Amino acid sequence: MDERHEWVQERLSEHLEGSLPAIEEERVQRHLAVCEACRDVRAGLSEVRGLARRLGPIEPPRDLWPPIAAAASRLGRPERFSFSVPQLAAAAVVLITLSASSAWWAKGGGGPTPPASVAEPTTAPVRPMTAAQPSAPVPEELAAELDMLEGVLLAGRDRLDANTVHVLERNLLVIERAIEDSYRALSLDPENEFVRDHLRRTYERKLEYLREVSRIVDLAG
Amino acid sequence: MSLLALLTAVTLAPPMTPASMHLHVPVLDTVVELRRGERVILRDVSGTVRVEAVGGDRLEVMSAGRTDNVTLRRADGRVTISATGRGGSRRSVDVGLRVPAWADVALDGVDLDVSVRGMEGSVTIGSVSGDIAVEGTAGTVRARTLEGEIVAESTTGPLYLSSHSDDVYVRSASGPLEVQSLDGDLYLEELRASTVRAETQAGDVTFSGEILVGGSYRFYLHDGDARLELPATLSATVRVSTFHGTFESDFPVMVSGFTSGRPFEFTVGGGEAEVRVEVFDGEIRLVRGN
Repeated sequence: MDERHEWVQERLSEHLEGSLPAIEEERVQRHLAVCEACRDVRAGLSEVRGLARRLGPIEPPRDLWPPIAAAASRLGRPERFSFSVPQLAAAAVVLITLSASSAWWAKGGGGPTPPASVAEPTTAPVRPMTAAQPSAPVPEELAAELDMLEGVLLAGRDRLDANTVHVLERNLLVIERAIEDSYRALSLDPENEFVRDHLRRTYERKLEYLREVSRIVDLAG
Repeated sequence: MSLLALLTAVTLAPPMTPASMHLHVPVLDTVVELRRGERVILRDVSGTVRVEAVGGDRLEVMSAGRTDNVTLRRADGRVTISATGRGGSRRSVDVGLRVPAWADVALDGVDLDVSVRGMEGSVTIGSVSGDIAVEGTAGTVRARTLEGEIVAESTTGPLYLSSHSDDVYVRSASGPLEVQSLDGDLYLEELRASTVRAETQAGDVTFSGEILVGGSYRFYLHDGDARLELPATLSATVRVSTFHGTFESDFPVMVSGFTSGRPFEFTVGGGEAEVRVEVFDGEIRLVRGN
């Protein structure tokens, strides 16, 4: 398993108990904001804990584990990433000069010293958003055109062949996932200008894409 | 001549022999002397279209295989080529165009593979499902496809390339470049462009090439890795942003005011260009090239 996911999942029990050190708690929360697989694991653990509390000492139902195992298996094979210098801890003001081949952990978070080796980010497969996930508010100035263009797709999808509809909707999922990731991140760090700009740009990308979809619907006649 | 007059309506001859039909040997069908400033438009077709630049003013339409209802229409400063079957249904074609290099060309269709070589005028390509290849062009190229690869090589003009579901490859380009994909990788190699903007939501970006004085190089990724191979003599201000990712550099890095999870900026050499890399979740690597 990717070590970053492993690091987080090893701390999920303490995270659920609220007993993690603050610096680790922040890092776990940041990871959960962008990792659906680890959120699935947390949800499973949470459910198990709830049952355990209600029923006393009892083995967790077996059918809770397949989704947890499936979520863990989606994380892909491990790929290690070694650092040649000590990683930077978060600091208000630091002056750092790194020589050639330097690297550091630039992960969002309060700045805990990360493990000595850190796995590459996992590129998770695109999955449909679930109803339980938060919805990012649409920028007001883009809302009307987005609504209109989504209507074009809905109205025109019957004129498109099945493969084209599949591709169009898959691409929309990619954008929606990026929007939800960004929104969750912004919820955790509301002052983060980068995330705010990123969310805004992703919405603009969605708008561009839907304009292209409109052209494709027109071509279909 | 009336602007709407039909100049040429050609029923293309069937292949000479069954063998030539099988081999798809291009046959010269139609020749049109273009007037300076006229555009060549191929509209709403499916199949394969190859465009090759030639000197002079002569537009030649070559066909291969069965294309029994290809028409050319000249009006409003445009020569429009279309291919429709009975009742206006869309027909698949296999067409080669030899086009005066100076002419502007626009091609669009649904299941359309396109290759363009050597054009100096502007080239606009729109396909829903199909691959696009561009080589040796000097004019502005705008190409977009929903599902298909885009390859551009040895170009000198501005490139605006968008494949929503597949990869985009650009090699040895020297004009300004804007390239994007939603669900594909971007490979930008041996560039010598003063402006580069690359964006992908679920894919990686690979860049190698020169960083020119006064140039602007921007890379935006959501879920993917950025690997930038930059010249050893790099002179640039580099701004790096990642919410949930890693950063690695072969170049000396000096930052002040670093806060984890927030953008940071540093200067390499004289800082004569701008490099901006924003990766929401992924790895950023700055590699020292030659």
